[in-house]
Amino acid sequence: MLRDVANWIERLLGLDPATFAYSWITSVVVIGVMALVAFVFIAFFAGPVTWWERRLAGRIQSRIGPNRVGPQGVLQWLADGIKCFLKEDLIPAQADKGLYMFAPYLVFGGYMATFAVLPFGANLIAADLDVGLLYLLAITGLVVIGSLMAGWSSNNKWALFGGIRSAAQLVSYEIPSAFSLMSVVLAAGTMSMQGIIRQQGAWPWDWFVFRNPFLFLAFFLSLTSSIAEGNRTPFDLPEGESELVAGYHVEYSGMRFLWFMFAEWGNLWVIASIATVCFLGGWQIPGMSPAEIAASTGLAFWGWQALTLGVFVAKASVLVAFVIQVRWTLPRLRVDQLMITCWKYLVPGALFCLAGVLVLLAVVPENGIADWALRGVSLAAGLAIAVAYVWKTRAAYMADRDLYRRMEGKELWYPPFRLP
Amino acid sequence: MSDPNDLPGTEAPIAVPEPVPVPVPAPVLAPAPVLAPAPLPSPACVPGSMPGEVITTTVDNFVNWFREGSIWYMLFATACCGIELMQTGGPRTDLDRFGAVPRSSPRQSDLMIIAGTITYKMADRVRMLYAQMPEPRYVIAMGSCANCGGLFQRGYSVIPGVDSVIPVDIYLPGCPPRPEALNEAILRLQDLMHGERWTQKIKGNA
Amino acid sequence: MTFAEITQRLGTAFPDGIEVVEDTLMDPAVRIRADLAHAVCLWLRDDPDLHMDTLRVITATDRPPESIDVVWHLLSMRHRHTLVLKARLPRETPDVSTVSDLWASANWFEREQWDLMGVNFTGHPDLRRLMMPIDWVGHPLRKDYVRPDSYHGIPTSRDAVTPVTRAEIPRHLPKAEPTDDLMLINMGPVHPATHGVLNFLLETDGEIVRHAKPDVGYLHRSIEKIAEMNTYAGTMPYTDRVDYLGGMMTNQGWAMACERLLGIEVPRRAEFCRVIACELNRIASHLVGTGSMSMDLGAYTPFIHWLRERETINDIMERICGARLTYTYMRIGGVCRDIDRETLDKISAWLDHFEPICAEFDRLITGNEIFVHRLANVAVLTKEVALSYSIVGPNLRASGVKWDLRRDEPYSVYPELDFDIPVGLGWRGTVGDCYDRLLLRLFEIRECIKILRQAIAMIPDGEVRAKVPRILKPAANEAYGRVEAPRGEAGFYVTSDGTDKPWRVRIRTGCFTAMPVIEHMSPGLMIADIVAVIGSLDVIAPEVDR
Repeated sequence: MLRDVANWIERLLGLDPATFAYSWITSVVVIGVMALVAFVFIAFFAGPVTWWERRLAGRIQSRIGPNRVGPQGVLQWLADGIKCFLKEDLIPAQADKGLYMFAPYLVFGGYMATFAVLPFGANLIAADLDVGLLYLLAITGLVVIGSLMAGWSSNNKWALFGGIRSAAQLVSYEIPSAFSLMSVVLAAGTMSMQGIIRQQGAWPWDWFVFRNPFLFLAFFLSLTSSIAEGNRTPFDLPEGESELVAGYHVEYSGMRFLWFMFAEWGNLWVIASIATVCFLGGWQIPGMSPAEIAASTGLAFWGWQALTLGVFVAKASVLVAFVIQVRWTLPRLRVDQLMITCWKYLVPGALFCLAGVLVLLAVVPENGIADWALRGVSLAAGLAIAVAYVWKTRAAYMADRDLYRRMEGKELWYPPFRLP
Repeated sequence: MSDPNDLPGTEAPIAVPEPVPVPVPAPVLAPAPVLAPAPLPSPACVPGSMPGEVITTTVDNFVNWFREGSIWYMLFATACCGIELMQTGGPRTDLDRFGAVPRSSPRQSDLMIIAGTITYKMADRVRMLYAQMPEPRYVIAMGSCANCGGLFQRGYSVIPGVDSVIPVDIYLPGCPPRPEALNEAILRLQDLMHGERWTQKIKGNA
Repeated sequence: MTFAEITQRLGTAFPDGIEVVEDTLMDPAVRIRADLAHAVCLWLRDDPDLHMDTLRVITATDRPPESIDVVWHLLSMRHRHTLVLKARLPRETPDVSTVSDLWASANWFEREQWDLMGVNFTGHPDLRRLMMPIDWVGHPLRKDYVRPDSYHGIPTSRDAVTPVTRAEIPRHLPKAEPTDDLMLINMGPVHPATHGVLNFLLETDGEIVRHAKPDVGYLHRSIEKIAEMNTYAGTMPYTDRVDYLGGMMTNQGWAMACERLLGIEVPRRAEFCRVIACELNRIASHLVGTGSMSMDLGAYTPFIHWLRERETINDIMERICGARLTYTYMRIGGVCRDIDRETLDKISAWLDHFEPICAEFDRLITGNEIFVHRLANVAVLTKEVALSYSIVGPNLRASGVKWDLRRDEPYSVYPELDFDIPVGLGWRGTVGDCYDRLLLRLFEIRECIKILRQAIAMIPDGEVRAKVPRILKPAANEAYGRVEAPRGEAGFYVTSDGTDKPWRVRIRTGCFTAMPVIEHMSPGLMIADIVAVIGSLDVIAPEVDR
């Protein structure tokens, strides 16, 4: 495809693609333009997530959050970006210049290259690789090198601590992440992202998460491991603000620091997307099968694309909100507890899920009674959790409402948007 | 940004005092020269950015508007003013509304709010932290102790104002200043930033 | 045991050791021979009937031109008696034996007196400056001390200051020369976890800390010296700044010390106003203590919720005395303003609102398994270590020692109020671990609510301030006024000399003795645990440094 576009540009310029000696230049230009387009695309996902996180955090903490830059503060991320862009380029005198300058790009690239295989809609995917999931797991390994480089090259003991902790954490949590996603691959029979989605359906009982109890468990293990991979609380040791000052990016300023932040918040989206694709049915809409969507043409085709994009974004947004809420609720784990959680609980759990899915695949025929029974059990478990969650929320809400009613008429300051 | 509905760049310029004519001594043939208006003290940050001298362009306004909306301040809380600093980031007066988040590393912050007393033992550290901040950087001296030593001036261990070690942009009186006062200081800082030419700022030690 | 009995037994044990028995003082003291200091202290500590298990404070008072007095305040929690021990040293060679091998807290007390007064404690393992920079010249608390004009280029007086411009700050500063021994990592003094400017020099082996040495003095504001320059009433604002989170209680401590010196009796309504203000302040302080602890562990939300509640307390305090943080509410002889009925109703309303919020905090933090695993069995402070390090306040109670000044050395109207003293029981781990200290503060908040409700119901009518002369000139005397502050005992040892300014003021705070115990507990902890320990001990810099 790259070559097609490059050839088209050359023809536009009046050059013959076959004989043009410097056709590699057009290829490079095309790559550059595509990278820019991808960057802008990712920015429009990562940026608003920061706005949403800060507003949600404010809501949880009885305060408001950004609401000045732009209507309701929606341009806050743009302000942060422009401000960081205009900062002085500061490289610590004793830092290892080459590694220091290169590290942010590795971290950013590691997280953002995953966007290439995320299926945003029925046919909206940059590259539908046959080994999409494997590529995703592998490319995030770049982050390990990047954070180690950042920590070491900063010539700062606290940064070094952060870098080493981060490397240990990321390397460890890739294992339960990979194993739980392998359970999905087994169930789907393919590693391609679109393929995994096509093996699921639009309705909840067709989603992988409710296929059988092992996959149900694998969903939670995968989500936990992904949160750990993304350095989010409760696993945000490498950037534990109150301990390591700012972890491995303590010596980074301005635009270089922005790459790290960009990567972290974009990664929120990646976490949610992986879980959506692998477990929650992706962009599937009830009533239309993927083949029908692919067969439609013209306006209908683009309409279906837009709808599937909307479904995907909605599902991923729910998970993003969940991850944000977890961050602002739980304290962080100490490093040895982190390692224990990974190696003593998550890895055996993930292996258990993998083995269970293997056995069920071998023993239980597709669409038989046993299959539907398993789906029913998982659905029941999921419903039970959802009902318990709603119940507890409602109970807390009612208790709060009573308290609030008791305080009526008494002058006490309370934020105006506390639910009455 | 005092009002989100104001267009950037339409704020009234800071008033310049009228020129004061010199009283004419008796037998002078030539008319008495009119003194130029006394220039307002230049903010320590940008020499040449006195109002009336620099015309900021639309690009500057645009850029400054974004810069003002994202002032990351450094968590530098020494003493009692630190508690009021925390309360200002808290629910009632929420500095996050203005996009001001606390950062723990000086490398990632634009603003250092010196909240609390600085002793001689601490002075070197303050200077080092200030030197680690990348340009453009600002300092708010919060509270009496940071302004002038406060009620500890008679002691032997407190420096008489943090501006003896680092340049200060905004002096905020109070002991401790109320969160609303710190809020006002941030707004004044935004006004200060608004009158800057950013090309001049980012070219280093202006 | 009374003072007379103790002195008699002391006289029997050390026949020619006692020089003078000063029983005319407010707190009677016995002056012993300087060379017998260690022997006497050892005997006092180990004698089973006397058993002075805690050293309250060591003070050095300058008595020019001939001598320097060293004063030890000793306390026996088991037998509930105290003793003030003195020794007079020649001013040119003020040598006295150390007692740091008897009570571990003496280590830092003596270092501070060496730093500020120049008393040489022979046998001290590590006698170097504590508060002032290493290269400071002179002993500032001496009466003949003259302030230098500048230090490292920074002038000492505001008039001599020319504000620095940007051009004068070099781009890259060379790394600061190590002022102490070379250590591996420097945690602080500006660090989000250390509460204020506290510095720790950490020697680590990977994540595990081998040794954590606290380095203080970054907020030493020479309050004791300034108190000698002010009148008695004029020192009241400075006492707020000693403990900015518990300003009411340090105010009360100072007022009590002065009232004892002057023989002033405080009216009952004023005492109730004091109790109400202090208990509200205690709640506010514990909110910050527990909140910042949870923030250090990564949970930011509870801290912000607590700040929200603190805002209402600040509003109430503003109604009471006009200030949000540095109150200066108490006066010598009472309080400055009455608490009117409307304010009392607001306090009651707020208490009704606040009690369920404590339960909310429990749901969020106290029961959270991650929290428990981070805090349980971490940095256990045993009873013996706590007493040896003179730990006071909630930290001591969490280790199992039921000692609260409001109950055991009662003052004000606390004997008439009904409240419990919670003690650490090892709720999820061992007695005296970080979790106990956290939970104890939450229980204390509930006890404060109880006290507040009773005080609001029982407050009588009357004056809020005793008739006090305009210029306060107590006769030459010494008194020790102490209150139960949120971080332990806030004690003010005041020496008056007949003029309107005190001769010597010594402030004893709970955090000062809580700092060296971190060094004791640190080997084997991880860096993340150090953060948890600092938070659980609720150490704040101005109490340590004054």
